[in-house]
Amino acid sequence: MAGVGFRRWAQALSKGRRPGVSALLAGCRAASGISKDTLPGPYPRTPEERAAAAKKYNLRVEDYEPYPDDGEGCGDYPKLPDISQQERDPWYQWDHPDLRRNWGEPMHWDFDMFIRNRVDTSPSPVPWSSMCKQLFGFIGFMLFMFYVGEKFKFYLPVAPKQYPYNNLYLEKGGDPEKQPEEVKNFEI
Amino acid sequence: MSPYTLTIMIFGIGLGTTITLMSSHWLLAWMGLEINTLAMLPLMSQHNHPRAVQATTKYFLTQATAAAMLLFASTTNAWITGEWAIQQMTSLIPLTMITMPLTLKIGLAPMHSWLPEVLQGLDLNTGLIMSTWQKLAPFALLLQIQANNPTLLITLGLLSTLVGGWGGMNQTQLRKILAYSSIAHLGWMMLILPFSPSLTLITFITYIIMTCSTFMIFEINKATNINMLATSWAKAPTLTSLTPLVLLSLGGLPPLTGFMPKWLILQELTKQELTTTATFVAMTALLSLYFYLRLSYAMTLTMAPNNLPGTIPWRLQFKSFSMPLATTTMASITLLPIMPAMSTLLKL
Amino acid sequence: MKLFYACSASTCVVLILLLLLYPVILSFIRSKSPKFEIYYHSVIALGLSFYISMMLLLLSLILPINMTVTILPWTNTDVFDMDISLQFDLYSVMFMPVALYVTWQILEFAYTYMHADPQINRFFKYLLIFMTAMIIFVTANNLLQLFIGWEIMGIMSFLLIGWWHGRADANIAALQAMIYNRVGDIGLIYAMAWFAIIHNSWDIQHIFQLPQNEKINLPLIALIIAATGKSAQFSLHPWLPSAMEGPTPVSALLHSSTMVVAGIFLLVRMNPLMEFNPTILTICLCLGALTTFFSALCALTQNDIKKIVAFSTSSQLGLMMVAIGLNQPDLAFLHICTHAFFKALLFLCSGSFIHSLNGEQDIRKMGGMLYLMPITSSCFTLSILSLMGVPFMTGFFSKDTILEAMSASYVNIWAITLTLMATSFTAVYSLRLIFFVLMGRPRTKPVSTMNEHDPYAIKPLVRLAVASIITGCLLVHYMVPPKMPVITMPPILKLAALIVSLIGFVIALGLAFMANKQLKPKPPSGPHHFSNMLGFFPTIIHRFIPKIILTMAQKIASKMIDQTWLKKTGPKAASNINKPLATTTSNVQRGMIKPYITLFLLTLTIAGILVYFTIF
Repeated sequence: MAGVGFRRWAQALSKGRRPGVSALLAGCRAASGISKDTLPGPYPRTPEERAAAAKKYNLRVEDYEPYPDDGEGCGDYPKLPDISQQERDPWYQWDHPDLRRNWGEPMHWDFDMFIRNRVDTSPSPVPWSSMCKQLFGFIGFMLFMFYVGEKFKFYLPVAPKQYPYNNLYLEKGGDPEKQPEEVKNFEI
Repeated sequence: MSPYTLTIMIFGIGLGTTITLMSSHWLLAWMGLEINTLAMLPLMSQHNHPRAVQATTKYFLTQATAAAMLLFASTTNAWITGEWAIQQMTSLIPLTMITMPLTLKIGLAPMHSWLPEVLQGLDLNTGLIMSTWQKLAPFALLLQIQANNPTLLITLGLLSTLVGGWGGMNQTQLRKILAYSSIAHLGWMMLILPFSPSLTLITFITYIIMTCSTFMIFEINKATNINMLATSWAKAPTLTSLTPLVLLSLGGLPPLTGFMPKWLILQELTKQELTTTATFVAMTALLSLYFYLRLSYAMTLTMAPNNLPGTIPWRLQFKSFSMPLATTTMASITLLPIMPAMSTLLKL
Repeated sequence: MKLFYACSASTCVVLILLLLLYPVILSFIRSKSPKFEIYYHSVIALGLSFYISMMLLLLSLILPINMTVTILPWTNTDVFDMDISLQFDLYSVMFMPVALYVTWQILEFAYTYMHADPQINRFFKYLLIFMTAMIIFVTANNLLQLFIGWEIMGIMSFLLIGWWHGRADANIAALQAMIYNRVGDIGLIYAMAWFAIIHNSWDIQHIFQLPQNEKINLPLIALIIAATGKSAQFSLHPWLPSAMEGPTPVSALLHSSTMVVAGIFLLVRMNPLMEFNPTILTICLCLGALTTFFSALCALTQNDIKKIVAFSTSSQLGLMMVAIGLNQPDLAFLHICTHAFFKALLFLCSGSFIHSLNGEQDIRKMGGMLYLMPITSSCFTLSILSLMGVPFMTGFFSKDTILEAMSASYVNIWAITLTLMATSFTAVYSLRLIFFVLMGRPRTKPVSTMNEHDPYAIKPLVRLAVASIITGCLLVHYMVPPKMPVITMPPILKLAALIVSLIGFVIALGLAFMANKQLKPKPPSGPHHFSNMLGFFPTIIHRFIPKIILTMAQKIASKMIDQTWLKKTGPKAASNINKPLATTTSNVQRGMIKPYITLFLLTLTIAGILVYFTIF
């Protein structure tokens, strides 16, 4: 592979073709960040600019909504809804079935976050807030009750049985020579 | 210009500097400087181009100012102390008054402003003389003054390295860049002058070697701005691949010759417990390094589109400069290993 | 005598390990073996290993000696020694035959269940490697061996859950198991590091001699985290029900009877450290109680037969944790052993049903199995009775003892409440299983090919069923210390477990008969959702944590570090600062000679003035 790359590079050099060398330079640049050509354009202000930007990103004008112009450098990049790829139709013939994505489709700014095996946003039968309330309510209640239980411990008068004749010392095979210690499990 | 005149003029330049170098008396030194300047002026304006004439005028005016001030200061000194000898300067005010015109003559910040413009008006050969030989006489005087004011010189030196860095960044003209490079290097020399004049001398010599090779390389490539460097691969490929080393040597990167003076200067400054100054001046070297790198990049890492005839000059042989160019280039790349010998030999 | 015991015991263990690894090595040597070769070898190897381990058990019955045997040094540094050493005490000697017996039956059963699988040899190899790891784990006398066994079990669990890796769900489940187990592993590694640094030993016997002070809480909590991960206690539990994506024999072996108890086993092993530490014991107790209640709660509304069984496993693991928290490691261990039998049986019967119904796992689509598969159904019922703790079945001896010990202790009242509620829930979902799977009319597809002719499918069930009836009685006589005082307690306390089970049973019966009546038809309510969706725990955690992490990665790593720090304050700042200065410097150059000369004069004046003031 390296040999091929080097040959191409050498050819590009010998022919003095600009694209070869500049592509090489662009490759060097990509190590630190995306090149100027792949950066988003400036924030669109007029409707015409919006239309142009929407066209650039293969979106309809109605669907196009840029990120707010707050200096984070998103420019005219479209703000796509936070929907994971997992949520998309599994039976549709996607160009890229693994990613459930078509060619030329605009990519979410945080696309990495929403690929199929990361954050799942598919709808659940119970709304998110209600789920959170119930789960954390449950855990909180449990913790509280454990705290209460720790304050008021369970106690029932349970004691080992106490038999007569010094807890049946001799009957249990004790040594009659020795004086056994007094067994007193409870006062009567 | 007729060869006879040229010979006389060049002789005059040499004579003036030599007189200054030999003198121990201020009047004689002043005379030498004047001869030198007056001989230089026709050389500068030999092309009869308005820009060259303008440069000549500027040079004349600044040099005349400096010379007048020098004369005034030395007279004052003689008046106060009754002493004309260069090495016996003791009174501080005349000392300051004498340092200033000398620094104006070699072009230190903030008296540097004439240098880039004058240099821009000259062809590269004259420019080479201007930025090397012409510095020699004032420099020798500066070296000879014993009781220099360290604060003044350090301030001037730091200012020069800064201005040299910043000024060079904004330029596309090679001669201006070289002028700023000269300012920055002279700044380094000034910085170390109060502490170790021998180091100043080493710096000066290495600077002359490096700047000679640079000027000659540009001369061969017929390049006067950065864009013109881009075709140098078609003219002299070997030289093109060596040039970044020369430029980086100017920038002071190890293991090239240019690292030697910077290394020694920083070491000496640290020994003098001027760590802050040393750090600061090392940082300002980065500013200069930036435009050297830019030159290297433009020259060797890019390849400008060219027409077909433009790609073949490398087949022709260069006649001019080859010996001095080879010598200075190799010297400006590979002299670092003889650093101990140099620093021993040049102990003043 | 001791020497004899030591020699024979270590010989037994080495023999068992060699026997178990023999089919694995064989498959490496023989490049192409016949389809079921490994299977036959594995079953024979396991059978033999079981008998050898029984010999060891009998030996230890005759000579009740706790012993550690150092076989050979592993690595010795100046300050830190590691030996290969084995521990022969009650736990290891007793657990080996139990695990080997259960594994043997499960492997035999797997022949029927997996016979159509193309990679069946590899499947048995995995099971054998797993079993080897389990033996290494239980006999380990130092933390390193323990850790090796622990990790191999984790890897095997991952590989076996993802056995049908063509399915995305199986892959997700395998990954989940891996990730949750890694959290637990962090705990174990932390504890190991702590012991290595502070105590300078990984030998378990040395560790027990540590001074019992406040500081030891840290490694103990780490150990609890390890157990939480491995034994699917609350907060790290979601992987266990997901693990049911694996083949049923795997669920029966790894995720009910052997691997998942490793966490509890670890705590049983380490119990001398936490014996007198009320904080740690309380944490264990509360964690166990919460787990057992929560899992039982989730099991109530599941429809997948394996999910229900998985949750009941989780619930029983919680009960074991409760026993640890009660400072009764023997009881926890007893429950590990008895639970292995009846839970393996329960899984194998479920597997049998699923296999007969062509992979149908939904209990709503079963029914009437009693008439179609009578032997399997009987075994199923037996195991469920054992699970519920019906008197004198295997489960009764351990479960009832734990509950009794609990009610006789001075403990957290809410933990007791939860545990008792979980016990009654056990009865409820057990009844639900029987009601849906065995009783009623078949709701299966009309063409039914089920039969019970295959002896490989039936024999293991029967053997395990016998074990589920008798082993509890045998084990309990061996386990319970003979000097334990006989306790007086009111009948209500003695019968508490049975009473709550009965109450649960009756309520469930009432509910079951109400199910067909349509008294008040209404859509599933909130609590139903909570229970059916596993308390929303996986949904929330599996979405929330990646989202937080990835958002932070974007905001902190990418935006803050890369853009702000490495770009804005670095290169950009340098250029932004230098640009105006460079411009200023250039702006001096306007081609006017007058300012230049003025500049010179100005400098001269200033310098002169400064020098003048410096002098005078």
